[in-house]
Amino acid sequence: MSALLTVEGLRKAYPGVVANDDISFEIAPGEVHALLGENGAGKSTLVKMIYGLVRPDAGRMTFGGAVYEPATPHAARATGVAMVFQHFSLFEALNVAENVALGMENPPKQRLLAQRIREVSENYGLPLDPGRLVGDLSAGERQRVEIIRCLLQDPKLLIMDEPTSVLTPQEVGILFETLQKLQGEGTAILYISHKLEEIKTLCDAATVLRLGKVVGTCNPREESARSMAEMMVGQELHTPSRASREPGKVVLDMAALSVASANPFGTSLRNVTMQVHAGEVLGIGGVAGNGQDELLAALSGEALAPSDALKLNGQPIGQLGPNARRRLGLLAAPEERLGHAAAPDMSLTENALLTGAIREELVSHGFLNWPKTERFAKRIIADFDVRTPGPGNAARALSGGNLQKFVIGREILQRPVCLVVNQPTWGVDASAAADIRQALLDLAAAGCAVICISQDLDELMEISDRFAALNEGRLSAPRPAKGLTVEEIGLMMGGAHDMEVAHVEA
Amino acid sequence: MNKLPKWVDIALIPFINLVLALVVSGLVVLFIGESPFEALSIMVNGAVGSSYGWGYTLYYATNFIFTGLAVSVAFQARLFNIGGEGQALIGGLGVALTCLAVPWPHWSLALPFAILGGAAFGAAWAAIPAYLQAKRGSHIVITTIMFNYIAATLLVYLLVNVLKKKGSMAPETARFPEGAFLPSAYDMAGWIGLKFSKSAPLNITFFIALICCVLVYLLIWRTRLGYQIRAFGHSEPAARYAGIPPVRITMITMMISGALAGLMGINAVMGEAERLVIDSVQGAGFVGIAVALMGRSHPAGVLVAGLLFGMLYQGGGELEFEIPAVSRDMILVIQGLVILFTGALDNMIRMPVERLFLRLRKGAA
Repeated sequence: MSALLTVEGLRKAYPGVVANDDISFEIAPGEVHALLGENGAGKSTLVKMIYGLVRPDAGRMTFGGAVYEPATPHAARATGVAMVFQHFSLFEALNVAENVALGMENPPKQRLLAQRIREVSENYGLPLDPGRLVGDLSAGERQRVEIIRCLLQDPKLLIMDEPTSVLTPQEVGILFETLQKLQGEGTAILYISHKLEEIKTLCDAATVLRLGKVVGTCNPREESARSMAEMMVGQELHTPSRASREPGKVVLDMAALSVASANPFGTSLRNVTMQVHAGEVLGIGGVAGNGQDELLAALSGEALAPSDALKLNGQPIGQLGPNARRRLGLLAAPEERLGHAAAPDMSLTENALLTGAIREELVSHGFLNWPKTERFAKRIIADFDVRTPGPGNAARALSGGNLQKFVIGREILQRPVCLVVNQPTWGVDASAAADIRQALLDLAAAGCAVICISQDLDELMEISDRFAALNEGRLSAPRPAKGLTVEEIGLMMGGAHDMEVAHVEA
Repeated sequence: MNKLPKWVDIALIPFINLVLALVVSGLVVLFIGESPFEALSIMVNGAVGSSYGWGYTLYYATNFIFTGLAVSVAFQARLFNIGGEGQALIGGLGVALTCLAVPWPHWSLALPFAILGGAAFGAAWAAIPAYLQAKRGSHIVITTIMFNYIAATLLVYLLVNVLKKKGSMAPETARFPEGAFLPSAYDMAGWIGLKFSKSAPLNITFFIALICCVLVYLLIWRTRLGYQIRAFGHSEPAARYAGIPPVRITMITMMISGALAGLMGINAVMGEAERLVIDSVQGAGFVGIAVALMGRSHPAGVLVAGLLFGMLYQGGGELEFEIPAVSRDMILVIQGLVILFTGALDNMIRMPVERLFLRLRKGAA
C-alpha cells in the first residue's frame, strides 16, 4: 500500500535551537502511527508543520502522492488533515452545535448540523447531545466535541495530541474503540502520547524523537514500555523507589468540607473528608473538572473554609489565607504552571519570591532581599535540574516540564509540613517525571504529609500509600493503594458517564 | 532567547519612533506650506534655546513627570488609570486648601503640608474608582474617565460658590499667603549666584518630581509592596496563590497613583499660579498617559519622556507664536503623532528591529 503522508528531511530551527532536524517518516492509510519523545523532543513542532501552523525551513511532504505544503491550518483541513489538540478550544457558554459551527468554513443551519452531529456521534459511539452547553460537559465529553468537529470534515489523517490525559480508564477504552473503527475505515491516525501502554495496544508503528531528531522507529507491539521509554530518553530509566514505612500522626485533617467553586462552570466541593498522616502520600485521582482545582484552592488558602473544617497539626486553619498557611508549613503547587503557579513574564528569581518570601525570609522590613532571592532561585535550578540559562530568564521561556520542576522544587525546598501538588508531572517527560516523583517520595520519607492530586493513574499507583478519587466534588473514602485494580479505580472515579461502545460492524 | 538587548528596548526603539513622528509632522507642516526645518528649529530654540525656554520646558516636564508616574504605578498592576486629570485637579484643591488654611510663615513649612494635602486629595479621588473596580467590578478605565468630569464640575462649583474671593469676578481663590510661595528657578539660581529667567514658572517642585522618580523606582523594584503590585499586574491568579489580596492591592496601587497625580498641584497651583484657578491641570493628566507609554512605565523612562513632552509643549507654544499659519490645533496634531508613534504604533517598529537583531545575531553565531 502506498503511503498517505510522507515526510522527508523536515527541518525547523528557531533562534538558538533546532526544533526538528532531518525528520523523515511515513504513514499508510489506516495506520495508527505513534509519535514518541520527551518534552522538547520536537513532537509539537513536527505536528504543527503537518497541520500548517508552522512552515518548515527545509524538507518536503507529500499527501496522497501529491506535494503537500500547507500554509495554514485551513489548507491542511482542506487537504484532509484534522487535529484534536491537547487543550480544547471550546466556548463554555455556547452549546455543542454552536461550538462545532464556529470551527467550520460554511456551517450549515443549526438544525441540519445538529442532525449531522447526532449521526456521526452514533456512528462512532461517541454519544453527544448537540444542544447541551459545553460548560456543563465533562472533560471526556468535551473531547468528543473536538473529535466530532474533526470527523465532520471527513479527514484522511487525524492527529491526536495526548488525547487520554483527561479520561477515565473506561472512557479510554471507548475512545480506542472509536479510533479502531476509524482505522478500519482507512483513516490514518498520528497519535502523540506519553502513555506507553496505550501506544502498545493501539499503534501499528512508532517514530521516536529525541532532541529534534528521529532516533528510532519500532513496532510498539513488539517492544516493552520500558524499552520504548529508554529509546525516548536515551538512557536507562530508574523507577522511583520507596521504603515501606509506618504512617505517623495525623498532620492534615479535613472534616466535611464544602466549598462553592469560584468559577461558574467549576465543581463545588461537597463534604470532603480526609486525614493525611506524616510520612504518607495520599493520591487523589479523578477525571479533570471534578473538583481538583477547587480542592487545591481550599488547601492552599485561595478559597477559605469554615475554620474547623481544616486543621493542620490540630490547629484550625480554614479561615487563614495562603501566607498564614505557608507560615505554618502547608504549601501547595497548583496545576496551571503559567499564570497560576508562576507569573509568565516575571523572571525565575521573581517567581521564586512568589511563594518563598515567608519561609525563606526573603523580605526584611518591607524591602526585598534580591541577592538572597536569587540564591534561592539558583538553588532550585541546581537541585531540581531546571534547564535554563539562568534565574534571570522569564518563566514563560521555560518548557513546561522545566517550569514544573522549578515550581515543585520551589515548594519542596521550603521544607513543607504538608505539601499539596496538583498534576505534578503533567506534560513532563519520563525522566523528569521520575525525578519529581522521587522527590515527592523522599519528602514523605522525611516525614512530610504529601497530597498528590493527579489524573495519571500510573503515577498515583506508583507513589501513593492510599488512594481516593474525586467525583463531582465528592471524595471517595481513601483505600490502601496496594492491590487496587484498574476496574476498582475506574469505579471509584465514577466509571464512564453514560457512554456506550461503538457499534463496530463485523 | 529572542530577547532584545535592553538598550534597544528602552532607547533605540523610542528614538526611532520619535524620529518617525517628527518626519510625519514635518510632512504635515510642509503640506500647509511652511518649512519643516524652520519649524523644527523654532521649536527646539523655543524649548531649550534660552533660560526662559528651559524654565517653561522643565515646568511642563514637572507636571508630566507627576502624571506620568501616576499612570506608570497603576500600570504596574495593569490598572489603566485614565483619571490623572481629575486626580491632579482635586490634588490641586488639596494643595490650595492647605495653603489657605494657615498664614504660613515660610515656604519650607508650608511645602510638606501642601505635599500631604495634594497627595491625600489625589489619593482619595482615585480611591473611589479603585473601590468600585475591586469590589464591584466596574471597569477602572470607565470610572476614572467619568471621575475626571466629576472633578472638573466639582471644582467649578467650589470656585464659583464656595472658594471665590469676595468681590472678585474671577472663579479663583484668593492669592496664597506669601509664606506659601515656593522658590522659583530665579530664586534658586540666585542662591548659588546664577542668573535665570525671572518670568519662567519653573520652581522647586521640579526636584520633588525627581525625588518621586527615585522613590517610585525603589517602591516598585525594591519593596515587597512593589513586588506585590507587579505580581498582581502580571497574573492575578498567581498573585492570589501567593497570598496577595487583590482588593487591597488594587486600592493601594490606585491611591499611590492618585497621590502622585495630586502632587502635580504643588507645581501648578502652589508653584506657578499661587492660587487655585479653574483649570490648573490643562491636560497634563492625559499627557501623563503618553509619557508613561513612551517611558515604558519605568521612572527613568518617564523622566526622559516627561522632558521630551515638556519640550514639545513649550516648543509648540513658540511655534504657534512665530508661524501664524501653524495653529494651536497643529501643535496638537504633532503631539498626537508623537503619542501615536511612541505609544500605539510601538510594535510597528519593534518587529522589524527584532528581526534585524535576530539576523545579526544569527550572522554572528
